[in-house]
Amino acid sequence: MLTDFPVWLRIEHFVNILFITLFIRSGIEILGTFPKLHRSVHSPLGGQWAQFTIKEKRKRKYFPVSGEYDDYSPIVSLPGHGDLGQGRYWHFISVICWVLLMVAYWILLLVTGQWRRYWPEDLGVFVEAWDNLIQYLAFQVPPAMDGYPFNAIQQLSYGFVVLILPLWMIITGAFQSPAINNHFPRISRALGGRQVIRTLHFWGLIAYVVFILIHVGMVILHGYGHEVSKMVFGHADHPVAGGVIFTIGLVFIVFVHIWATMTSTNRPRVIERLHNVLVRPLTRALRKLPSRQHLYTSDDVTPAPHHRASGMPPSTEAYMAMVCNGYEDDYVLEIGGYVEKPMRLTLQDLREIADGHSQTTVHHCVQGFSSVGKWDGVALPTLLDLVRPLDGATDVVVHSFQNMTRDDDSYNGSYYYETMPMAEAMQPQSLIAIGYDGDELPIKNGAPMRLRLETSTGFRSAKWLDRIEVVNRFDIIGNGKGGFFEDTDSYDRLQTL
Amino acid sequence: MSDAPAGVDINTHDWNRHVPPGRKRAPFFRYIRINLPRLTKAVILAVMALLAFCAGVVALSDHLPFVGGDIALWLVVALAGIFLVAGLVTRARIWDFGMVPALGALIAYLGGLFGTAPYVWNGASVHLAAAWNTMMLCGLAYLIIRWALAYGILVAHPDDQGFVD
Repeated sequence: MLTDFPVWLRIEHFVNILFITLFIRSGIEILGTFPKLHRSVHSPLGGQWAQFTIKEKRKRKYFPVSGEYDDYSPIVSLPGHGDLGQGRYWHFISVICWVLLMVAYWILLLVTGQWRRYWPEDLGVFVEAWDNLIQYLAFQVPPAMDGYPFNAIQQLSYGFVVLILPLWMIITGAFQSPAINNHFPRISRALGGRQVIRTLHFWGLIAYVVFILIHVGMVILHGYGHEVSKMVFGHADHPVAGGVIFTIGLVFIVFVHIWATMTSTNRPRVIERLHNVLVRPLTRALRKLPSRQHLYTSDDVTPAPHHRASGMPPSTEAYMAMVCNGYEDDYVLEIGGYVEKPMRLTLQDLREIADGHSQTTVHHCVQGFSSVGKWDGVALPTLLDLVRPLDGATDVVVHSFQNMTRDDDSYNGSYYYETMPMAEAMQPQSLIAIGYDGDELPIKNGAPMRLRLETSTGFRSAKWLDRIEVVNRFDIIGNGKGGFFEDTDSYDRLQTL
Repeated sequence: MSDAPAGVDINTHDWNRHVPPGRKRAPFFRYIRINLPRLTKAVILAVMALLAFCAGVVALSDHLPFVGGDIALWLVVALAGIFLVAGLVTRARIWDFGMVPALGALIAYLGGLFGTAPYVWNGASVHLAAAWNTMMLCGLAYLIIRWALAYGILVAHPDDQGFVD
């Protein structure tokens, strides 16, 4: 029975080729937008253990992390050219499809008893696998084990790739989600923190690539047509036909990749719609995991000058004047819109309302870097309770002083803004931050005031806040997709993954 | 290290290293830089130790690759031994010297192809054949690592990539 290749196993093998290659290319795209692998959750400058970029940053002028992405070729990354939004769309589309199919595969393995093909009967299999390795090194081809279609070392490697490596990737992928990571901070810490988890995910990529290279090499060594016809017909009786059909399948996969690349590049909204259908049920559900980051202490905080930041501060004289004056007399936060009691609050007002409140949380940038910030400020639910949103209020909009064309050297567009549904605004660790670790907010981190949304990736925690507006619809603001990057690029408003 | 293009002020502008004139991107391997100097040095020493061990196994066997093969292989073992001692007790950058035992192993392997190399089909045992081929693979691995060091992909202790951003 274990020497058979059931049709569902052969289908799964083919589907795996498609999704693993989509994962690899889209994962490389994601890596390329912050192409540095760190060990420390603080992502310190120069502290990376590996980098995958040819870009040297300027030595004296401030640079945001958003400028650290590299322009990868569309041959290795999907879709290439530093398009993180589309890379994430493809990665998460593949997650949904592949995980569902993987679960179905595991269930079928279990109920049919075929799981035994991947599970060593006893420890003797490991000894036999060592002997197989010696035979390969002696340029000999070890025979298959009795009752199995492959030898011992193949069984162990297939078992690793089918049973262990997917779990490794699912766990390390899931814990890069800000919603999951911040809802389970103890598990995140036990895994080594955000950057170690990212590194472990990268090593999973390397494991897949190494497996593919060795696997394809072994297929060719054992006879291409003979081996791939097992994946076509379930037997090796027709190696030529099997080889031709399998090769046609591979060509089809290549065409899927070409279509994916060209559609992402030329018609990105098509992929956005596909993503929204397949992935949004998950990202919507993840919103039900509020941040519970209460375990970080002062020792965990990234010192203020080193908390990484993306985006460039406002470059107007008005903002510079506020900076020079220390904000106290010049800055006023307006909160209005669909509320019973619009308010104008100075920083002193906000400090009185905050009454020493702070939270220490991990910042998860969509690019992949992280820092740990101690944010002093007012819980957003507290502010909203003061202004009393009217019945029918659905969302909260934050507007920034930052104008992307004027201020940022990486992006073009109008004023930066973000929106959040009321449920997200009312989460316990949604915060309006007016200080950092007992001092004022650094300019690069959003002085005098920024938002903290701890269930989402960092770009939704808008900086340099001008005013807050409660609304009953957000589709009439900007381009109607709920934020600057949502309007102008391929980023979903649901950033819980 | 590739210099910044002419006219680029590196204090205020980003610049891309290793991009050939007229091209948009650098060669593929220029994008990979690993900064694990102690681990890299440990791997280099492990590769050389395995090379020496396998060469010694073949030298001690009764299936030499060619006449005088034992002398050649013991020479490889001795050179590898010097490399290992220097690598373990000093901070010297011995990577060029390591090419000598590595190339020596590969030359001995080539010599075996024209002689009576210990392959299974030549009557050698599986383990002896595996040792012989592993010696060759270690020699190749060392050449690749040496190239990666020179290319900037890897650094070995006491060197460092010098990342600052």
